[in-house]
This record gives sequence, structure tokens and C-alpha cells, in this order.
Amino acid sequence: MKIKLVQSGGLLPVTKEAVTEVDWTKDESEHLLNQIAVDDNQKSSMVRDGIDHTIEINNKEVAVNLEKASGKYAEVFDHLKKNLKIVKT
Amino acid sequence: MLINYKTGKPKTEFRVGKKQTIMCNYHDQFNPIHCILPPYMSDKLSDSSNKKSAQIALKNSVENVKLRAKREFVGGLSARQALLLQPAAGAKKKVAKLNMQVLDLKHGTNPSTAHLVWDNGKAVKPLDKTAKNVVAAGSATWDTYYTIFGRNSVDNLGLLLKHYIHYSNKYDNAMWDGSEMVYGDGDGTVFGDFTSDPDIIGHELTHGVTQYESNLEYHVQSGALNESLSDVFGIMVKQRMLNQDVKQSNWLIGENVLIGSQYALRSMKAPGTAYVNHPDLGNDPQPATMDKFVKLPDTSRGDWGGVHYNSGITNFAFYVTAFNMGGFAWEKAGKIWYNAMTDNALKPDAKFADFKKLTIAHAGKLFGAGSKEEKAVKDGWKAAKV
Repeated sequence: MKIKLVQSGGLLPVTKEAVTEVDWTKDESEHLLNQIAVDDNQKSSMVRDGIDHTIEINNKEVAVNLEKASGKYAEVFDHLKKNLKIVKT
Repeated sequence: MLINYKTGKPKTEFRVGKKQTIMCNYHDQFNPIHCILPPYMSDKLSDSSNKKSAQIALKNSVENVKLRAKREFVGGLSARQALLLQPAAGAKKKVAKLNMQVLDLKHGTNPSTAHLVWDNGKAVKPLDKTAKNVVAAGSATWDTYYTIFGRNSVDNLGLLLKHYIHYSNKYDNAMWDGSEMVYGDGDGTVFGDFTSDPDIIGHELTHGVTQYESNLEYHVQSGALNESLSDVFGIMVKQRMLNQDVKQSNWLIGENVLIGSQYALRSMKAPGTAYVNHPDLGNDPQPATMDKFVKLPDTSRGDWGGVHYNSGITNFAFYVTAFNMGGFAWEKAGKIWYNAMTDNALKPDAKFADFKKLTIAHAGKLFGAGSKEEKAVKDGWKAAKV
């Protein structure tokens, strides 16, 4: 399945994206999203010029905290982060 | 409230980027209660069974009440009355000192692993260019607020300013995380080192000042005003460091951060022209006037309703005001903007028009109703069509 990482925000608001293929099962990806999803209560309202990440997978878009991912998932996200490309608006 | 189970002391939670960290565990030399605490936490601490915690929290609360009361009183005085209140020449004046540290994350993201490289005037380790940039501009920002506006640090209580440099790898950003500044090195292709412009460092520190004052909400108009105040005080820090008057300044924010001599992040003089036909970014989308206000979704991807877009409008109002007044921006226009920014009447959901009213009122108080300074402020807002 395809997984897309979207990075947005910043001092100069720029959206960046990267896509890769993963061999995760649907259940596995659902479990992962539950683990790394950011809910509104966890968001710091005092961050200014901050950067946010969103994952698009299985036709779902979820705001995530990539630092929560570990093992093979962290490796995939590191790879995606290194390959982020600016989306021209 | 979170309590450290080992020490029994309260923990303060904060986030750097996406990492959740209990920062105050690492403040070995400080009592954690001196970290930034919101009022609801201070209130809880005041009632704490821990006597020392309660004493410190109460002392901080008393200082806050004193400051607010003083600000309200002084804000209501005429310029002549305020002058009469100033201490007589030769009287001993308590002088505040810069309280600042620079910490090197060495491309990590966890503040607990950061290395202290500069501590209140002393280099603890050899300083690289990034550290030197932060020392120079961080000190200049503190000095501008203290010398020109009489403010001691972001909280006006001498809060320790912590600057974290070399955050993550090729991190394309600088930010205020709610209690500290964080700077990335940039990818080296589109963005350079985010400490390479003093206005960026002044910008981030001013987010702290806004947080402690009106705490403007980070959405749509109030968010754009929040961003604009950071640009306004950021540019004044740069102008003061370079001893530039309003005519000498190029009024560019982040002219070194965005790689390419023809590019900058923002232009306060001509919003929408900071970068044109940039190979990766396209064109600068900032409007200069209210009739061109950009409507975007209130999401991260929508820049929270265009906070970095529409700040161009209020930036332009400040530029026109300062330019028409002449001289150094911080002498007149800066003081008016500072008084408006710290006025208790500025509410978290303030709109551009609310801030306009406050700046006109403070121009009248500082320089007299009908003064040329008051007219310059009105003309500034008129030019921005607010």
C-alpha cells in the first residue's frame, strides 16, 4: 500500500510531501495510526511557527507525532522525511 | 499537575517539535517553579502542601499582580504625568541583566541531551557561527526590549531565555515552542541557517512577549497580528543592530534564511515581493492591504487561516507609519506599537481594527492628540486599508 507523509506549517508556511510503498497489512497500519495519532488535547497551543505532520494511508488522513513511531515504522518515516519535496502552490 | 515521583517536585510539560518532554527535570540549577507556568498551575502551586513551592508560586503571583496594576496605572497617564514619575537624575536605579543560554542539540531533538555552549555572557565551549549569531541577536533582542521599552525578558520578570540550536537534521524552521526558541540549520538548498538573520531571532522571542501579554490566538486575524508583531519587533532588532533608520533599512525579514540574494521570507515595505518566481516556492503570497485579505482554512496546511500571509497587511501599516515618522523605527512607531501590544485592552481574539484603534490611542497619549505622530499612525492604517 502507498503511504504519504505531509509536512506543513513553519515560519514560512510550506507544504512538503513524500510517498513510499509499504508492505503493511491494513490492521497493522490501523494499529500504528492509533499509536502515533495526535489528538487535540496533546497539541500545544503555545507553539508558534511550528511544523506539523500528517499521514495519508488507506484513504485516511491522520495528524501524527512521528517521534512516537519506533522500529521499522520509524525507519520508514525517517526515509520519508529525508525525501520530502515542496508542493508548489 | 504532574509530579516527579523521585523528587516530589512538579513537572512542566512542553513540546519541542513533535517530542513530548518533561523539561524541568533538566533544570538542575533552577527550581522548576521558575519555569514558565500558566496561571492555573501557579494557583495550584500556591495551594501546594510543599511549602517552598507554595512560597515561590505566591511570590511570582504577587509580582505579576504588581506589574499588571502598574501597567494599568501608567497606561492611563499623560506623557507629562509619566515624565514626572520618572526617577530623578542621579537616583539609584535597579538594573536588570540579560539572562540567556545557548544550547547545542547537535542535530538531536531531545533538549535533555543538549550541550550548553553559552551561559550569561560566558562561552562554555567554543562557539560556532550559529551560536555566535544567536548570542549576538538574542542579546540585542533582550537589550532592545529592556533599553527601549523597559521590558526585562519575554515575561518582564527576567525569564531565562533558552535558545536551542542545530535542531534535528536539515530542519527548515525556527520556532517558539511555548517556552524556548528552537532553530534548524536549513536544508542548504532552499533554506539556510535559521539563525543567520537577527530579525528571525527577534521574531521568535517576540512570540514569547505576545504569549505573556495579550496571548493573541493563533488563527486568522488575531494570528496574523501575532505574526506581524513578531516581524515588527524582529525588524527593529535588526535595524538597531545595524544602526539603520527607516530609510536605510530594506525592511526584509529572513533575507539570508531564504537562499538567493534576490529572495527573503517577507517584505514589510512591499508585502508580496519578497520572492518572485522562486524555483521551489513560486511567488510571495502576502497581501499588503485589507481588501486582498487571504482566506485560508484554519488548519496547519491552511497556515491557521493564513497567519503568515495576512501579517503582510499589518506589517505594511507599521512600515508606512514608521517611514512617515522618520528617524529610527524604535523611537516613535516602535514605542506606540509596544504600548498597544502590552495594553490590557488587547484581547486574545483581537482583529486588525482593534489594534489600529489602540495604536492611534497610544500615539495620542505619547505624542498628543492631533500630533503628526498620531496622523502618521492613521495614515499607516489607511495605506493598509484597515
